[in-house]
Amino acid sequence: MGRDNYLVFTALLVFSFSLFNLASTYNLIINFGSAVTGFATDSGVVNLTVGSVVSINFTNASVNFGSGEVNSSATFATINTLGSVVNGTWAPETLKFLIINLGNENATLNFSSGKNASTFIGGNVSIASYQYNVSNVETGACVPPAGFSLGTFYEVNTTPVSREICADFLPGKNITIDIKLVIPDNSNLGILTDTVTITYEAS
Amino acid sequence: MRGLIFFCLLIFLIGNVFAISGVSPGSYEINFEPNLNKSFVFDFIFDEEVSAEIYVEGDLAEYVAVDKEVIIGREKVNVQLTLPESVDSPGPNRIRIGARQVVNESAGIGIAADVRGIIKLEVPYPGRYVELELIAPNANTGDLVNLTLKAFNRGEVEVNIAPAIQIFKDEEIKDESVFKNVKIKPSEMRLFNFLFNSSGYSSGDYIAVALADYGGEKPARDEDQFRLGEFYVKINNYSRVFEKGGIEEFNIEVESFWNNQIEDLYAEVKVINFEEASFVTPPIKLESWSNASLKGFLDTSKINDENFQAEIILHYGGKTTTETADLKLIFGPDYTLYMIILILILVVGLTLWRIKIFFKRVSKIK
Repeated sequence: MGRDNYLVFTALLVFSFSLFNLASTYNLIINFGSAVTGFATDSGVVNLTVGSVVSINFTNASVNFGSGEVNSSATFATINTLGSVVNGTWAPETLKFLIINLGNENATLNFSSGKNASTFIGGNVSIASYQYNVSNVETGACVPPAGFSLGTFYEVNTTPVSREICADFLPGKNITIDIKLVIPDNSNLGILTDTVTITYEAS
Repeated sequence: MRGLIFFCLLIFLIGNVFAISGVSPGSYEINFEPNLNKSFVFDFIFDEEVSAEIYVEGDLAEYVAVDKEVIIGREKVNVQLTLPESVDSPGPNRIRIGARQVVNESAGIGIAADVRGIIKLEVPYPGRYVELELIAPNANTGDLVNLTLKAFNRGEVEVNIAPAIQIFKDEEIKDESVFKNVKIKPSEMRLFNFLFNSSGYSSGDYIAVALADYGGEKPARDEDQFRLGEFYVKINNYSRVFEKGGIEEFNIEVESFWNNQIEDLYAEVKVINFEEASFVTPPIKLESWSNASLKGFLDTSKINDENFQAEIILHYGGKTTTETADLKLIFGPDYTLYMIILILILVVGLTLWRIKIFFKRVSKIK
C-alpha cells in the first residue's frame, strides 16, 4: 500500500512539472517577438536589371505520320495532324508542332520551308498538297498580320520564301502548327523529308 | 491497273534534339551619328551541340561586321557597326544579326529556328519630322484612363509642337486635351500624359487620336483603340445536344467585358421540369476581356423529354447573367439492356457447359 502511495505521489509530481513546463514554453513563444534575439531587421535596395530576351521553344519539334499507303481504290489520301486519315492506311496522328514564347518580349514569327508539295510529296501536281495551319493555344497568343488568318490551312510555298504568321507572339503563350498532306497514288516513294523554319525577332 | 499498284509511302519522324533558341538582348536602339563606331554583343542561345550560322541582313547591313560565322550551343557574337558620314535611308532602319540553325536533315518533317537580334537605327529625316506614339490602355467605366503620348523628333532641326489628344466613340468626339507648346531637339522624345475621366461614359470601344502640327506637310498623327469595361459576363455558347442515359459534359462559353480579373465565376444550370438534373459548375477565374469555358456534368438519366429547357445562371461578384437554353436529348442505344442480355447469355452458356460435364461424368460412372 505504501509503495502504491509513493508511485501515485511521483506520478502527480511529474504531471505537475510537465504542466509547468508547458506553461513556461507557451509563455516563451508568446513573448518571443519582444524578446532580445539575434534576429536583425533592416531595409535595403535591391538593384535588378532584367535584360530583354527573345526566345522560343519547340515543345514538339517534329511531326510523325509513320508509314502508310494510299488505298488501292483511291487516287489520293489525305492525312493531317488533327487525327484525320482519309483513303490511307496511316495511323491517326494528333501530335503537331507546339511553340512557346519563352522570352520577355513580343516576337514576330515567319514560316518558311525548303520544299513545297511537288518537291516534298511529288506525284500528280494537281492533287499533291502540303499545308500548314497556325492556331492559338491561349486566346490572343498570336496576333496575325493582315491577310493571314489563324485556324486556316495555307499551302506551303517556297515562293515567297517566308510568310509572316504572327505579328505579335506574346511571352509565355503557345501556338500550334498543324500539317496536312494530300498524297497522290503516284507520289514519291520511301522516306520523305522536309524542315520548316521559324524565323523570329523582337516585334 | 493503277488500282492494283500500291504506292507505299514512308514519312518518318526526325529525332530532333533541338528545342530552345533565343537571343539576348532582342534589340538595341540607337540614333544615327555620322562616322559612329560602336560595338554590340548578342548572346545567342541554342541547345548544346546545335550549330547555327551567323548572318547579317537588312538595312545598312554593309556597315556591320561580326566576329563569328558559326556558333555551337550558347555563344556571344560581337557586332561592330561603322557608319559613314551620311546615309540615304531616313527613318527607322533594322539591321538583323541572325543565327540560323544548321539542320542535318534525315527524314520526316522537322522544325528549325532562325533567331535574329536587331539593331534599330533611327536616321533623321531631312528638315522637320515628328512621329507620335499614343498608348491608350483599357479601363472600366468611371476610371481615370491614363493616356500616354510620346513625341519623337526624327528630323534634323528643332521643332515646336502643341499636341492634342481627342477621344472618339462611334465617330463622335467625346473629349479633347491640348497640351502647351514645347520644343523638341533632334533625336529627342517628349512625353505627354492625359487623364481621361470616363465617368458618365458608356462602356464599349473608343478611339484616342493624337495630332501635332510641327510645320511639316501634314500634322503628325497616331491613334490607339481602347475599351471601357462594364462588370458583365456574357454567355456566348453552350452545349445543346446530349445523349440519353448517362453523365454528359456540359460546356458554357463565357466572355468577360470587365477590365479586371473576375474571381469565383460559376454557372448554375437549372433544368426546367427536371430539377434533380440541375447542377453547378466549379468556379473559375476569368481574366479581363477574355473568354473561358465552364464545365459541368448533366445527368441525362433524370431527363425524359427529347426537347427540354435549362436556365443558365452565371454568378460573379454578386451579379448574375441569365439565359434560357433550348436543349435536346438523343435517345441512343440502351447499353444497360445489352449488358443484361450479355450476362444472361454467359450464365446460360455456363450452366449448359456444367450440365454437359455432369452428364459426361454420369455416363463414365455407368
